[in-house]
Amino acid sequence: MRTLIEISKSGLRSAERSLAVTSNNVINADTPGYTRQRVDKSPIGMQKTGFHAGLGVNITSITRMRNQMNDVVINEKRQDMGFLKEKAKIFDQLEASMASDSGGDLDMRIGRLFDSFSELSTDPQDKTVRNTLMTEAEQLTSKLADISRNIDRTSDLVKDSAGSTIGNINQILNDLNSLNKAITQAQSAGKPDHASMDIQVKKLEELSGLVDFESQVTDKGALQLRVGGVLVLDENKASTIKGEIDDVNKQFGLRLDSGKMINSAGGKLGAEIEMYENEIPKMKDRLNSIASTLVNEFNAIHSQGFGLEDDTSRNFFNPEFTDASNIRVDETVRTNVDHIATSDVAGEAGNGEIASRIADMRNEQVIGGRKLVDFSVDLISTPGRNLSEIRSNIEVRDSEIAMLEAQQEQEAGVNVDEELSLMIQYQNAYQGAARVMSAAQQMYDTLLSIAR
Amino acid sequence: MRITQKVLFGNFMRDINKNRSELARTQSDLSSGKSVRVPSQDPTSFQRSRIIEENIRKEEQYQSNISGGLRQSRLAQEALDETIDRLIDVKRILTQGATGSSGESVRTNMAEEISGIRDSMVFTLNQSYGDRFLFSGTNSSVKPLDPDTPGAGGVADNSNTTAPTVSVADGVKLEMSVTASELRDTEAGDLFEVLSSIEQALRDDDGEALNGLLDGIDSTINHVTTVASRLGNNINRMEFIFEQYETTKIAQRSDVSGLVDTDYAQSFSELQRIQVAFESAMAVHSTMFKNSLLDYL
Repeated sequence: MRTLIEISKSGLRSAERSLAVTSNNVINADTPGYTRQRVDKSPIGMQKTGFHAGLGVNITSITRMRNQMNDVVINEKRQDMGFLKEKAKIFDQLEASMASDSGGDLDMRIGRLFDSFSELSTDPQDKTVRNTLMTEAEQLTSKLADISRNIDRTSDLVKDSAGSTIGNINQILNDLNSLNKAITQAQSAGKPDHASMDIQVKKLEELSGLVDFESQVTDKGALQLRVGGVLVLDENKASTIKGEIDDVNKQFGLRLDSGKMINSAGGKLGAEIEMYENEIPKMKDRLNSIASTLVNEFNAIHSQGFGLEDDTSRNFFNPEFTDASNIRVDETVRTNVDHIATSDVAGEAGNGEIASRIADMRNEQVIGGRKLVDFSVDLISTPGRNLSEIRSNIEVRDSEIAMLEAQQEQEAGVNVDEELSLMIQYQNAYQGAARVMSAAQQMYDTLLSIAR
Repeated sequence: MRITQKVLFGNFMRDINKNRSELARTQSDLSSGKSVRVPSQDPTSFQRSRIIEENIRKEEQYQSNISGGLRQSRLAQEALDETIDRLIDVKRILTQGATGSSGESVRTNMAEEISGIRDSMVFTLNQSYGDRFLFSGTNSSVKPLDPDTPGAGGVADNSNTTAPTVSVADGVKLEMSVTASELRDTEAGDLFEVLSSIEQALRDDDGEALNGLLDGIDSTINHVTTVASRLGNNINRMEFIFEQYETTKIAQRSDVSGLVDTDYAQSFSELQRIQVAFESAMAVHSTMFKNSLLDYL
């Protein structure tokens, strides 16, 4: 008879426990990283003389419904996504500083300067044309300086951003280290710490956007992480990453507190380093080559000619400054536009030969086998070209990740309707168990009433 | 397959965001009239359009050069026409003077007239455009003809032999005037020399010499006319090239437009399509979210 009470007691306990798990599922339906849990039960039985008697129900474990493999694959895609998104962001900034829809970009400024020389070749004695030419030349030099400054600023921003990305990575590595401790302790005690494991999933998701890594779980349940093949998180230790920056040569190294250097080629950090080390300097070099070509080619022709005032040959641009950041018109020419050389014979005011030769340079392939304007158009389109390519890659990655997330969600996600129906089921089970207990109670009462 | 609320919501957000970004794109295409405003929207079209625009810019500059050149050429042409008229006057006077009936005093008057014509020709050929003397060649900061300094025919020549040019196309330059030196250099000798010989013969009352000069004035007129018609040819060429640029400009502008401007018909139908997708996404998802077991508990 006592077994009846025990059986119903186990039923009550199991229903109560199941209801608790389901409730927790419903409440956490929207919590990032949360994995739905299921109660595993098994019947209890006992061999009696002649028969086997059931003695109720036992909760054997509470399972986390999660596919670890899927997590690894998604995180790999997320690393790629973090890389692409950061690159897109930086190229977006660069594009905004180089190309606009209002005109007035570098290609137009160069074209306008050639226009002015062409105009001057027809009217070498016209002061207005000379003044316009000087204005155009100054607009061009300030445009070059402006773009150069913007590129430098972007480079600095990327460098700073990489610094704070490293800070975030270190923070997450620390968090993961604490979680490792909680998880391994709980596992050795035989009671898995599901909450910590869910937080770990979320932290890994965050980390995968920031840096590329490989993960592995040890026998004790601890997570090991490697960046570029080097261990950064072990069972009981998290490394700290430090950025080593050489701003002159545009080098960005990553050093662990153990002294080892690591390489990151993915995630936000990988993108920032690649942009800082390669893409941005490459763009700057091309911009500078435009400036130096302008200085050299213009001067080569201009210095053979003569202005209106004297028989002295001069450079058009100051030859000491050949970078985009400092290119400038020769001071004597700038302050007196009559010194702009137009004639190839000294003293011939109406001779526009030199101006016309400079104007003709717009058709010559003087830079990288291309015309100056074409080269400039190519340069200002470079960020946009990369951006458009990256955007289509992002779309592909995005749908891949969405698909994988849907797969993971199938396994690990909480379906509220499902949980609600389980709730009803467990409520009924509880009521059933309670009824068993009340029946047993009545049986006892009947028995006792005989004795009275 | 288990479909959770999170999957539904995630899909909804993705679809809505996608529709919204497409809507935004179509909206900006339609409101700005341009479908390619920055390189990232279509790098190839952007680059092509900018390179064509550079070509348009260059040709517009040539047009502007031609306009400036034409103004100067026409002034020069008028001056040459004027000069031809003056020379014809000289020929008329010379023909009258050469007949034996003209007396000495008449011839002296005629000589004065020739001298006046010479002065007015000098004035005409010293015509300037802005700071530039049209007939000085490239030496255009000084007057080409100076009657106060001794020279052939009493008029010094300050011009050089290089006529000023205008760039009208890649590598093509047209002379927009003639130089005084060339103008003066007739088959009968220096133009002003011819005039002064006529003046002198009239003053000397030398009928024979006057008859001998008739051929000279004819060939002088021919020379100036030839030079003027060459300038006229250049003017015609400039006008022709200018018109050609007008035509190619239209073609090139429409090329640029085809590359970067919005195709309104397409954009509007696109807008319609996205709107339908957007609205049905809203409608279907708001119905889906209402379906919950909670309502029945």
